[in-house]
Amino acid sequence: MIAVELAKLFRRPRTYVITGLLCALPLIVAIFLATTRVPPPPGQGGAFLSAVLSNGALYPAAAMALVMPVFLPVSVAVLAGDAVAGEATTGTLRYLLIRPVGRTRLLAAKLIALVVFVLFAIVAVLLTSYVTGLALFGSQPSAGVALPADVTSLSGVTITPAGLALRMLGTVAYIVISMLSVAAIALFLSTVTDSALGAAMGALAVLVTSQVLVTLDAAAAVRPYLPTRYWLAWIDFFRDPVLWRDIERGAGIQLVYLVVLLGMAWANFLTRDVVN
Amino acid sequence: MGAHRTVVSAQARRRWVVVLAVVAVLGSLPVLAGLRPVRAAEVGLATLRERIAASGRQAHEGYALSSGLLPLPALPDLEQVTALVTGTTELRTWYAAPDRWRVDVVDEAAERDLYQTPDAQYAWDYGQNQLTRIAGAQPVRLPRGADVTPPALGTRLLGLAAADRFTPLPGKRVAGLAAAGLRIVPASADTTVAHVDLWADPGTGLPLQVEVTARGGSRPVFVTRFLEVHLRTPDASVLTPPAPVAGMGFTVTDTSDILGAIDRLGVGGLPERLAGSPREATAVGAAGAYGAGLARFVVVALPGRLGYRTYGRLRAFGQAVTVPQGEAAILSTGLLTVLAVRADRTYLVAGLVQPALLRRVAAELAGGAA
Repeated sequence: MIAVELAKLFRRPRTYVITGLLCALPLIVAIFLATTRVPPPPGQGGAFLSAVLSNGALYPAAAMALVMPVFLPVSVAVLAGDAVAGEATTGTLRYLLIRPVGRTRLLAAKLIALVVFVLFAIVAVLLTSYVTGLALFGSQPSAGVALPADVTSLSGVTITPAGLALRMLGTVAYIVISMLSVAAIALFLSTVTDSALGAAMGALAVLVTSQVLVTLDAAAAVRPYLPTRYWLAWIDFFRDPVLWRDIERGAGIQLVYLVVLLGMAWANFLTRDVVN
Repeated sequence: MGAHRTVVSAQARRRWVVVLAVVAVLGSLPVLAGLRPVRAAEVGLATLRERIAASGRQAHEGYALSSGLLPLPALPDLEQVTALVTGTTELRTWYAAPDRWRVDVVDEAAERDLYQTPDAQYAWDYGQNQLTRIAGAQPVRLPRGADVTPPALGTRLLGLAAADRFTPLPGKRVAGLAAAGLRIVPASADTTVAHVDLWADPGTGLPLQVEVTARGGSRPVFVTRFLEVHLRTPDASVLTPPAPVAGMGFTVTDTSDILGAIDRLGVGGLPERLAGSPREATAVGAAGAYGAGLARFVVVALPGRLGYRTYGRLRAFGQAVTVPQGEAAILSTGLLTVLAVRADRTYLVAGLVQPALLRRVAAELAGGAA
């Protein structure tokens, strides 16, 4: 079942189109930065953008900050919203369930396929942005002074290439986990409606509401429980020492949303009448 | 017509019950954690005061959050100071000894760190990509993030409140520790502070949470508290400032901020007495402190352009004050009162004091009876 879903994922052109679009955004930003050499002031604008002009090795982190808040969640919501509702819309859900597979397994396979997509997309963004960063900015400082391929952390401490690789791995893992709540919300809605667009829009409505409440002081009491509260906590991998507090809480809250929303999807989908 | 109950609908209902049970369990965990009984060690009020006052040698490391609700506009060149009392500040702190500590002010994608070493202070600002070595004593400086950690603020307020009234408070759990509490009620009618509530680790006296409530207020307008704290000596590597590297700005200075720079310009010349209080004996001329306890206020003489901009900002957000010569504007936030006076030079005055007191100060600075 999982193999079938993965094969379907990688057979569809839209997987590559969405990934291509995700990779294109950092590329466009890099071209503008490299052409004009006008970065945002340090500490303002996109995270790490001010540092990449002197060392392109940090550009993958800047690329993550560019795609993470909007582009990546939208992609996941669209794909997850389509997971079950899309099958119903095209009339294939009934035939899918005629096969000797349980609906629980189908949901699990859909979720695993979404996780694999997120992993695939993030790795693609990281690799393309790393190549882009080195090609357009190099790993030498703009002043021409010899500089090792180290990068400076937010705390001013130098991160070695090995340390940078470890932190990027942590970033990838954290972002995959961060997308679990989006996937679970959209997947649940996808079992409620036959409209893939409706499910995706529903998930995005939840995320936008969460983002608004995160910035609202009056909503401070519920802030720690909002799905998007800790989305940017991966930046804490680039402090020295790593600030684990928000990373741990972010991973924990994503797992809670995953358990609850996946449970709701399971409760709703297992005995739902499938007419399409 | 009643619902038609089938085997399938009963199964669906059972699944939803399971899901709701999981939601109830997960949702109740934070509530149950908050309801754990607090059994702070029995410690007398006098002992707790002594331990807090002596907690400067207690090593610790932690993560703290300070939040101020004061409606104060950002003042020119003082944005980082006003941000401390108008918003939320995330702080990471590592403290080994009075001459070996580090405090980071953490923003979403930036960081401002301050290292105290036995030789000097080092300030790292990611936003400015700047490492600064601050050599020598700093007789005058602006408030900064390191001043609003619970231990720094708690011991400072306790030191100021020696003549005030103390009452015990019920214990509470702060950052997982059962903390003992005390309340400071100022004796002076000149301060805007109704009371300061302070909770500390009963064994070591380390302040864990400080709340400042203004007169007439029902809830604190400034709170700083640990969300995580460990009573252990931090690793030496954490307390070592970053080394300057190519591409990073590095300067050595003996003034940490604009206030120190103003002092070096020699703008000073402050009155010996204001509002009946003598100026505290300090070796600096640009800034002076007057008053006692929590009714203390600070006066700074600002140079021309900065003074002009600061006055304009306060005039826009505050109220005009009639003075014998020149002009003055006052801004009262309930807790902090700020005054700007333009006379022979520009003065900025601030303190946790009543507006009436600063109106007297305005009259004296602007050429009234000194």
